[in-house]
Amino acid sequence: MRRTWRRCALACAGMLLLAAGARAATEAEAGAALRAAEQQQAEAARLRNRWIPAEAALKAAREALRTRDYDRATELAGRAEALARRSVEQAREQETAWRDAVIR
Amino acid sequence: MTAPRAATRRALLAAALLLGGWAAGAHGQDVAAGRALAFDRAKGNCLACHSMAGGDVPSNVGPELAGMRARFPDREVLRAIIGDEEARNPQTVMPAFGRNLILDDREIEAVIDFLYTL
Amino acid sequence: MRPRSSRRARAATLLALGAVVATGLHPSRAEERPDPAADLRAFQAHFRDRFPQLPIAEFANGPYAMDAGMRQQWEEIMQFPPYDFAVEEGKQAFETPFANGKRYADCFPEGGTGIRQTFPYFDTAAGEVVTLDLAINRCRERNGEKPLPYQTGLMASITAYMAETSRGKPFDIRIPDDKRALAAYEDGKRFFYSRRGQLNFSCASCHVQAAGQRLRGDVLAPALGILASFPIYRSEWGSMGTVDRRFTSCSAQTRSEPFAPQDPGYRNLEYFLSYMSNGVPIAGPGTRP
Ligand code: HEC
Repeated sequence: MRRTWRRCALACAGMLLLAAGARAATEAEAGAALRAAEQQQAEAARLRNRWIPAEAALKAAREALRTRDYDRATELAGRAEALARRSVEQAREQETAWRDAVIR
Repeated sequence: MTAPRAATRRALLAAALLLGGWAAGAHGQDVAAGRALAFDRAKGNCLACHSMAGGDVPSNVGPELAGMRARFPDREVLRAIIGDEEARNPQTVMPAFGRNLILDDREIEAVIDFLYTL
Repeated sequence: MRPRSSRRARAATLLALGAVVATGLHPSRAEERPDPAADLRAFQAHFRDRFPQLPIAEFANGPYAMDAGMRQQWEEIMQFPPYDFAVEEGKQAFETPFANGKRYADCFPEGGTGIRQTFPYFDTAAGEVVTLDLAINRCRERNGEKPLPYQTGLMASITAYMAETSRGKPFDIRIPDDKRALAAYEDGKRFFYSRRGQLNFSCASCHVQAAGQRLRGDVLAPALGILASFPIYRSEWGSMGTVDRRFTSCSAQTRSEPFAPQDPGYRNLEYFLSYMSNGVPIAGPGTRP
């Protein structure tokens, strides 16, 4: 029984490692993710529709890159990019959709 | 020979169950997590617009959240309302929690588990 | 197999094209010519129908016009209005000459008293919307003084004094027959009705659709007359706040990055909202929970 638990623990650790993908992001990857996020956010700014959480994630990603935490920088940049992309989409939809809300 | 192999199998099975259970979240835990998400002002913030049991503010922008299982027997409908109500009703004031990345899929499931206790 | 599916695809394309052409034939909403007067009639009729008991002047009182319980608290607060200090400070600043000997009064018609209801106006020479707050800072700059920060402090005090001298005068905003003025109006209207921010709200989501309803502790002010009491002393802030302060905090509530104070986008929004409120008397400065 004890052996079963030991093996169980080992197996758990192994599966977790596998699940995590287990490869740290490189500086180059983090940098590329950040640039992609910044590009989306620049488009959101052009459309005058930046979201606060997108800007916050972008700032945090830059900070993580500065402190060489590339995993975190990559993850935060990915989140910032997704948020900024959705804000751009929202702005484009609203270019016409707002008219349906007008009191008439 | 057979005994250790059986032990290994048991160990793998136990590990899978453990991790699986952890990944899916046990039901009771999801209700608690869902409740926390629903009340968290940075997350669900349901209380801003809805009144519900356990909330102490009289918001009435949206309908009261009560009798949820009777009103929404189909979980899929709740998923759609929370995820992107605008797709169903273009003029809704309900935020698109899923589409706008306020809550992720797991968080939405947890919120639904909690709603079903109301 | 192949020809059939491509034929189907072609049919679908034709159908789609047909639909596009058909909708193109309708006078599309996107090409509507701005008609502020018609908008105003529909806007005010909407709120009259929603709150038939409420005289138009009452809309200046925002949440207090919506809720009897809050109104009672208000009447108690108003025994010692928390904005009195600001009116005093504003009056003093208003009457104190600049270093060059000129005064605010020299920058405004009627010496600056009783004119709040005419702001914002469209400056046809400059081709832009000018709010009272912007006019105050431009007056300062023309006279060699530094501009004031927009959201609170002395700016709120001076506008509080100027509003107080205009109490009871109905909003009287004009939209000149000028393409740029109409464009500014239309831009403000678009902003008001556009969903923004991660929470996907427009201003109208809260101040039209949910007007009078409770959002946590707050009763949502109706969009009609929503600027008539500005600037306001807000207990939640513990200080005075201008229109810029309110716009900034409402933008942030939707998780949208606010514009800078007096950004043309915010000025156009103020132009639209003030025009929609024509006829609602100035009640500023105000107090809010
Ligand atoms: C999530 C809902 C929400 C949205 C969206 C929102 N506001 Fe507000 N707004 C409030 C709340 C809450 C208050 C404070 C209570 C009240 O007075 O309505 C308020 C107050 C105001 C006031 C002051 C009203 C008064 O009588 O003191 C103004 C002006 C205002 N909002 C303008 C706007 C504008 C312009 C927008 C769009 C950029 C906007 N709001 C979007 C919730 C919202």
